[in-house]
Amino acid sequence: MAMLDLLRIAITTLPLAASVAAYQNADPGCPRYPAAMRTEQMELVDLDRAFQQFSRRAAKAQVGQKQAASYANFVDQRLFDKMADDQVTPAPPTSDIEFLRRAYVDLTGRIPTPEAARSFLESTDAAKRAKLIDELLSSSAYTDQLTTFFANKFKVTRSHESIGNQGRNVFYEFLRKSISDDRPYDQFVRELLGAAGEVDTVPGTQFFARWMDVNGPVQDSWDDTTDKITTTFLGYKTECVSCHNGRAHLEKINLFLTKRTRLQFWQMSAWLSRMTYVRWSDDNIGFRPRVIIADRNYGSYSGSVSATNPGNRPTRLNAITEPVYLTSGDTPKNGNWRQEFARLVTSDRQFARATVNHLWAYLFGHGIVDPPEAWDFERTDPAKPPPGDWPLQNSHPELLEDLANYFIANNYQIKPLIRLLVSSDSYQLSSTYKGTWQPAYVKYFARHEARRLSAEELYDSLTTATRTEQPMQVAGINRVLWYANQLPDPTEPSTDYRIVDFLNNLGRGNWITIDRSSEPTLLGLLYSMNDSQNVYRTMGTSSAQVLSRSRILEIDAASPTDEEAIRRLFLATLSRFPSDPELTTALKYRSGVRAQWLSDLQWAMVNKLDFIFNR
Amino acid sequence: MNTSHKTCSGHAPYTRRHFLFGASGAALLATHADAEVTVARNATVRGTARTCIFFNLNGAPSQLDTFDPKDGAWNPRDADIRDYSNGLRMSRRYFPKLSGITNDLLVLRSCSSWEAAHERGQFYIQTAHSQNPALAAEIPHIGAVVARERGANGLIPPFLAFNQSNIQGATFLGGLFQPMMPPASTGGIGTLTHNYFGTADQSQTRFERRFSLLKDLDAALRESPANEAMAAYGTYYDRAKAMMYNTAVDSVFKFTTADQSRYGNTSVGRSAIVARNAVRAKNGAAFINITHNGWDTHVGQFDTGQSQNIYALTNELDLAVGSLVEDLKASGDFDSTLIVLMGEFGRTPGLLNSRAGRDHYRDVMNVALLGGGVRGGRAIGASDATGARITDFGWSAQRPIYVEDITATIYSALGINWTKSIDDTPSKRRYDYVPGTAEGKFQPVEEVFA
Repeated sequence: MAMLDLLRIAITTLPLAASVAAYQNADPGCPRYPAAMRTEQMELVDLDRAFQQFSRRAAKAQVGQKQAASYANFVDQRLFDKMADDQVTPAPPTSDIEFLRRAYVDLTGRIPTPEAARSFLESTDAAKRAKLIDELLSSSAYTDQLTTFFANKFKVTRSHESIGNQGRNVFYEFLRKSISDDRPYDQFVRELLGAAGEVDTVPGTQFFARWMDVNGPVQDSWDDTTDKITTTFLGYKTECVSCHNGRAHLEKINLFLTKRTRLQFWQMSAWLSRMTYVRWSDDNIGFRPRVIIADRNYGSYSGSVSATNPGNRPTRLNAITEPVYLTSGDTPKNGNWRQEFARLVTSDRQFARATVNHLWAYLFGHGIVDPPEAWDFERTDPAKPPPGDWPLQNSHPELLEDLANYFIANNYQIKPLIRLLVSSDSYQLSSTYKGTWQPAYVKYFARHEARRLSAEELYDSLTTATRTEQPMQVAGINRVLWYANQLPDPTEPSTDYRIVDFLNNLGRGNWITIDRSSEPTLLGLLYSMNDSQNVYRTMGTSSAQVLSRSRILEIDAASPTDEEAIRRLFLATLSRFPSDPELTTALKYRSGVRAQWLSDLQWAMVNKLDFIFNR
Repeated sequence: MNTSHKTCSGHAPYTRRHFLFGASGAALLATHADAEVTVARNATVRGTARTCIFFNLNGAPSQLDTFDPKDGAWNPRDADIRDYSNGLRMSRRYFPKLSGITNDLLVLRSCSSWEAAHERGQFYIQTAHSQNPALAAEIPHIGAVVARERGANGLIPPFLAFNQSNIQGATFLGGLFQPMMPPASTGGIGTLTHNYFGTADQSQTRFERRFSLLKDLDAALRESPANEAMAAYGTYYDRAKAMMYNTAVDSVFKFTTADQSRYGNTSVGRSAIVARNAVRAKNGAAFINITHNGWDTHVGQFDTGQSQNIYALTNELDLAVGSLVEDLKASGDFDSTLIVLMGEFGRTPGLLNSRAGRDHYRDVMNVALLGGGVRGGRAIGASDATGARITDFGWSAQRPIYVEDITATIYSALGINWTKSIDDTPSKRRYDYVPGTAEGKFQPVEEVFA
């Protein structure tokens, strides 16, 4: 309610004319769009610029010619042709070792078991990568991983005061089933955006409950949800024009939004303005909120709010606003505005573009348009280049269109798209670059970007490596969960604080006030190196149940020689065999009984950078 | 849980960073961590304090219901407002402990804020800079500036911060001066020391061996990391390890349950105990931020049924600060420790609002100071009968005291020339320790010192 108070000040201390203008003038330090994010976006514009300049210079100096390569698919054609045009040498292809771990972590959220790793590495089948991709894509771990990917975008958590266990679980299962069935994504989103009924029972309604501003006027809920919809489904943040016109505060960031007005935002938000929220906070079913999402067949967006509860945006123009779709100008054809909005959003070509770009960014480290939730439509079409020295935001416009076409032609199914991307040689480039790396190469995707494993991926990989998977209980979910990427939200597993601690210390965030982070922290390092729960996992002593299956004891019992034990432990932990120097080092550090020094070795391996990062 | 808690704005802390930004950020650290510092003018620094403990009263406390009380119908019957030496005035009900040590307490009552929104106000008191959107991401917390001036020379990180998630970091000053945000509980930081392998000594020996194995195995990757994100991660191991199996570090973060109850068993109290330990340890801590949350009292501020009301807030703070002063005096560290109590702005004056609370207000706020060379037993400046306007500035500049002046005062007490600036920033725009001081626009409040 910072805005509320600014507003109160505006009303009490400014002359009337100024307060009338307040609904459209910019606040130079908007808390909703924090400075760090703005600066970051300005840096990304600079990177776009560097890329474009590099590309132009290179094109001018071009003497060579494209290599007539045989590409794995059109992704490679677009990426490698661009690199060849600009004389950028890509990183070498991945080794089987690199590919194996990368594909496992990206597609299933954890490292392979040693058995799976051995069988892949030792296979001589020429098609083994394609076969592995198929195998992973049809695993239930893929469903868990992709569900987690999307769940992190929707952020439907019971930490929100409109959602209880039940609603959270209904949403989670709805999402999970859609992923598992590979239901067309546009259908899924259409159902979600049109969902009406009890939040505890009707799938999709939880999205609206989650983005509801419980204490504010209903306009704030519509506005927050509108921004969430444009950001998640269409790839552009409209929050910046929800308080002020774009002029005078977005010039350095987004040309498209600079020209948009608050009125246009309200027109977009008006598509939701026939939606009503009913909420009992003290229902007789306990402290659990009871919320219903419903629609009227009349009414529209009004700027009028209660004087005692004006919400947290500057005064709205006190007028009635009817829906207009921000980019196309579409207006309602019938009375059910929200259903119509759901259809407009999902049939918008930008919906396909934004979705493929989100998934691309997940697999390649950053978007073809980047950041993926901040498209600037005046800088994405090469046929209409932006003015002045503004760079295009879109590093591979044709590729993005091809991908959108592919997604649409494949009925908006996620799995074929992911198969296409991970099958490309582009995805299968090494993360180790030979030669001098230049910042502009980032936008060529000239090497694979190593990323830190998420908290969930680290937990799941650690338990896989050490064979210390433990069952987790989640209220209302009647199956045993073994992996962190099976948890429905970041409050879980609430019955096991040890796992919660692990995930929180490694940056899981909470979907409400704390963002996910992969940055190193002292406390995080102290935790991963010296927390009892972590350390015990490599010792096999955390519980009788775990002891019986401990990786260390298993390997100790099964290995005829020390060398063999080390090789097996490397395979189980780093999904590869040791190099000769590594083997020598490991042998050098032997001391005491074998299970003991094996435990030292595994401790070191799970703290190694190539365990913590996905390369 | 509520989406809009702590302060009424419900902002999310801005920690989301794109990996590209993270990568270039790490590169920036390398280029700017040793950037040259320019001194704009000679300044006579006081240098009366070794450490600063900054109580950040997050949410903005009411001037009237803290250190500048007036007689008025808004006061509850039991407010028990009393007068002390040199115009000091305080409620004995709110501050029973501090009421007993008014000789050490200095209140600046003629302060004004530039801001009336939490995020911007918090940014201001954390950095002494306005939240300019183009530059904000590179402006460091004043604690990081102090940390850099003092250097990371001890085993305790120079900048500690408690209870605040949206704290501004060290930005271009570098990771060494980043705030460390430890938990504050009797057990200390659980991951510092363990008895995994027999005694602590045996465990440490085993840990050292493991760590050395890790380094040997990881040498190649440390040498040529895949990218900047991996390089940055690699730099944290040694720092974390230096803190492990070290009683000098471990003991700073631990305390007894007797201390815990004496300090009030609250988050602000527990943090104050760790701050006390860190000051006494003299092992690197230079700036300690303790955030006391909940001061955004829009509704029912005297209603004890509200989880955050004036009684609870003032009593918690009183017990924490009062006990801290007692203990620092006992160990002889009080005079070299500057204690600052301030929030981001004041609250609406006079009668309470229609919801029995107070809203945001810029014109009048107050700041309380203790220790570290401060001459206590006084108030500087005065406000009118409802706390709405400043009636007496009470210091040489003859204008309100602003955040810039307070920060310059803190720097001076810590022996830091507040007119310094750094030209070589990531944006290539000059970073002033305190903007406007080089031009004489702002200055330390010299009247603070003895």
